Amino acid sequence: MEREALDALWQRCLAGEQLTPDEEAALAEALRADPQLRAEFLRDEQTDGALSALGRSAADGERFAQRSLDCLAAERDSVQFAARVQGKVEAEQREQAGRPAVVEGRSSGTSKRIRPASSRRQRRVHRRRAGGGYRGVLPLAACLAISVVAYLAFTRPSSPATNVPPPVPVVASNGSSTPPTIAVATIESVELPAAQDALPVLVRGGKAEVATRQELRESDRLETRGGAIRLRYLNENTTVQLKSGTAARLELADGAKRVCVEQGVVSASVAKQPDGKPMRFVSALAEATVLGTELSFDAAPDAAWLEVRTGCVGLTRLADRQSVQVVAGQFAVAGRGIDLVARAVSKEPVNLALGQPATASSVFEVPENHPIRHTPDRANDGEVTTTWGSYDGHIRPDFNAWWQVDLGLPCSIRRIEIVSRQDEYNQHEARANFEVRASNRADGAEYVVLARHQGAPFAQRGTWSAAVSTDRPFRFVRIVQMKANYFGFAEARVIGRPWSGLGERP
Amino acid sequence: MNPEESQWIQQARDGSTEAFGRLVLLHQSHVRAYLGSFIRNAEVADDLAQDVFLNAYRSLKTYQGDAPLRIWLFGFARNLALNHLRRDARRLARESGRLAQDLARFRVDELESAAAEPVARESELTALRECIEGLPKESARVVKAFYFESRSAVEIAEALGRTANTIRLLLFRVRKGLRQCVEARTASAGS
Repeated sequence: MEREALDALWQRCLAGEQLTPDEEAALAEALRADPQLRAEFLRDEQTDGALSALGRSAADGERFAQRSLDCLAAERDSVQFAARVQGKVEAEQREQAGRPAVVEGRSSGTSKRIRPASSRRQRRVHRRRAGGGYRGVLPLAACLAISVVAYLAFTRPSSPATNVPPPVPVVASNGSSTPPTIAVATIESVELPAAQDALPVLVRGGKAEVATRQELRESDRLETRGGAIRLRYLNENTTVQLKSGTAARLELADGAKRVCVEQGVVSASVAKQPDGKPMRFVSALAEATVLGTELSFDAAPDAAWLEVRTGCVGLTRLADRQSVQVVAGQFAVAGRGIDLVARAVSKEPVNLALGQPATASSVFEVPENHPIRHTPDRANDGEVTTTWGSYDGHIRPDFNAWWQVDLGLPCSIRRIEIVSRQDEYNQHEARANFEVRASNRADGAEYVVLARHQGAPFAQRGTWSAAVSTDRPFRFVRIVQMKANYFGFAEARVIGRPWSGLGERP
Repeated sequence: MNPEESQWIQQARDGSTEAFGRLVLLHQSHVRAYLGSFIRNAEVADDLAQDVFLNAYRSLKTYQGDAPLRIWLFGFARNLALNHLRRDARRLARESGRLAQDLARFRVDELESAAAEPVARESELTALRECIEGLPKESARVVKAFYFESRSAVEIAEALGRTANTIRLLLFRVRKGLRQCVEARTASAGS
C-alpha cells in the first residue's frame, strides 16, 4: 500500500473512525512490517494524545485540582469511618469474649498498652491506621458500612422537624440497584417547567425524573434544567432551593454537608450545624462556609456570588484561599480580578462609575506650556468642570475614540448619563453619534450595546440620558465614538447596582 | 522550579491539602499530557492522573527532592499507565481485532522503552509547549480549535471552508512539524 494511503488510514484510525476489516489488516500489516512507520505513527499518536490532554488541562485545570482534593477528603472520610466502625466491632468482640478491654494507662512516666493477644488481624488494622496502608481495611469497612447504614435506615426515628411522609426511594433509569450511600435529604417540592424536555432530573448511575418526597442520597446530582427543586435535609430544618438552570451535587465530607454547585443559583436556609462541621457551598471558584444562616450562592463560570440575609458566612476564593466574612445584608464576589471584599447589598441605584478605574483610546494633551491633560479619570471624578478628551485631530487624530470604566464587579445597569463639557467649547461632534457598550471583558470584546446616540448633537453643557434594559450583569462599560471625530465629555455616569446574586438578577 | 513549590511540598508533607492543591494545579497539565501520550481514552487518562496525585500525596514523605517533583510524579504515572496498558492489551487480545491488539502491544513496548523515561518525556513535553507557541498562524488556529476548544474536524472545516479530510491532513502535518521542533529543541538542549 502506498505511503499516502497509509497516512490517510492512520488519520482515520486516530480520529476513532471504524476501518473496514481489509483496511485494518492492511494497516496492521504495514505497522508490523515497517518499524520506522510504526515508530512514526506511534509518535504521532503520542503527540495527538499530549495535545488533547494539554487542551483539557487548560480548560479545566482548577476543576481537576479540586477533584483531587475532593478525592483526598473522601478518602480521609472513609478511613476515619472505617476506623470508627472497626473500633466498635472490636469492642463488641471483646465484650462477647469476656476478655478485658484494651487498657491504656500511664505509670511512673511510662506508657503501658495491654491488648488481648488473640487477634493478629486487629494488630494489622491498628498498624495500618497508624501508617497509611489502609487499603485492606476499606473492603471490610464497606461491608460494615452497608450494615450500619441499613441499621440506621430501619431504626432512625422520623424527623420531628420536617414532619413529612417517609421518603420515596429512587431507582435509576438504568435499573441498577441503589448504591450504598447515605440518605441525606428529601425533595420537598418540584416546580415543573412547561416543556417536557426540560424536566428536572436526578443523576444516580443513570438519569431519572425527580418527584416530591423522593429520597436524596450522598453523591446524588440534581439538574433542575427548566424547573426548580426545593429539598430538605433529614432531621433538621435546613432547606436548599435549586433555581432553574442549576446543576448541583449533594455530598458529605467528614459528616459535614456540602453542596457542590456546578452551575446556577442555590438559595438556602441553614439550621445551626454541629460544631466543627459547617455546611459548605462549593463552586469551581469559591467555597461558602455556613454554620447557620440564610444565603444565596450563585456559581457562574467566571465568578461566584454569595449574598447573606441572616447570620454570617465565610467565602473562600479557591484559587488563592483568600477568605472574607460576609454578614447579613452584604454580598461578596469571588472571581478573577475582582476584589474579595464584603459589600453592602445596595437597594438604591447609585453611580457605579464614580471613581472607578477608567481608560481611554487616547488622551488629549497640549504643549508643555499648557499643562493640560484630559485624562480618562476626569470623566468619572464626580466633577463636571473636568473633562476627558481624545486626541485632538489637529495634533494627532484618534479615529476610533473610546472611554471605558471598570465597575469593579458585574453590575445591574439601569441608566447611562453623559454630561458634555461645561466650558465655552462647543465641540458638537463629541456630543453625537456614540454607542454605549457593556462587556465582562477588559478588552471590551463580546459586548452588548446598551444605548446609542445618532443624529443631531445633544445640548451644549447638557446631559444625555438613556434608560437601559438588559437581563445580564456587566463589569465594563465602554462609550465609543462611531464616527471619525474628536470625542470627550465631562462626566459619564453608570446608574445601577452591584449585582449581588439571587433576587438581584436584572 | 516555581519558587514557592518547595514550600508547598513541605506544607503538603505536613498535611496541608491546600498546599497540595497548589501542587496539583502546578503539575496537572504535564502529568495529564504524559498519560495522554500513551492512553487513548481521555477519561481513563485523567482518572489515572488523579491516581498519580493521590499516590503522590500518600507517599510525599518519601520524596527526597533529588529530582524535580514533576519527574517524581511521572514515575507514578508511568507505572500506572503500564499496569493499565498491560491489562488493556490482555483484554484486547481476547476481544478485539489484530490492529487493536498490535497497537496495544506497541504502546506497552513504547512505554517500557527509554523514550518514555520520565526525564526524557518531561523535556519533550516542555519543548512541545514551546513549539505550539511558535506555530504559524493558520496551523495555530486549527490546533487551538481542535485541541483546545474541542471542535471537530468537520466543524473546523465548515468554519474555514475546507473539507474535514483537509483539516485532518493539516493536523497530521502540524503534529509532524511539532515533533520535529521538539526533537530539535531537546537535541539542542542536550548538546
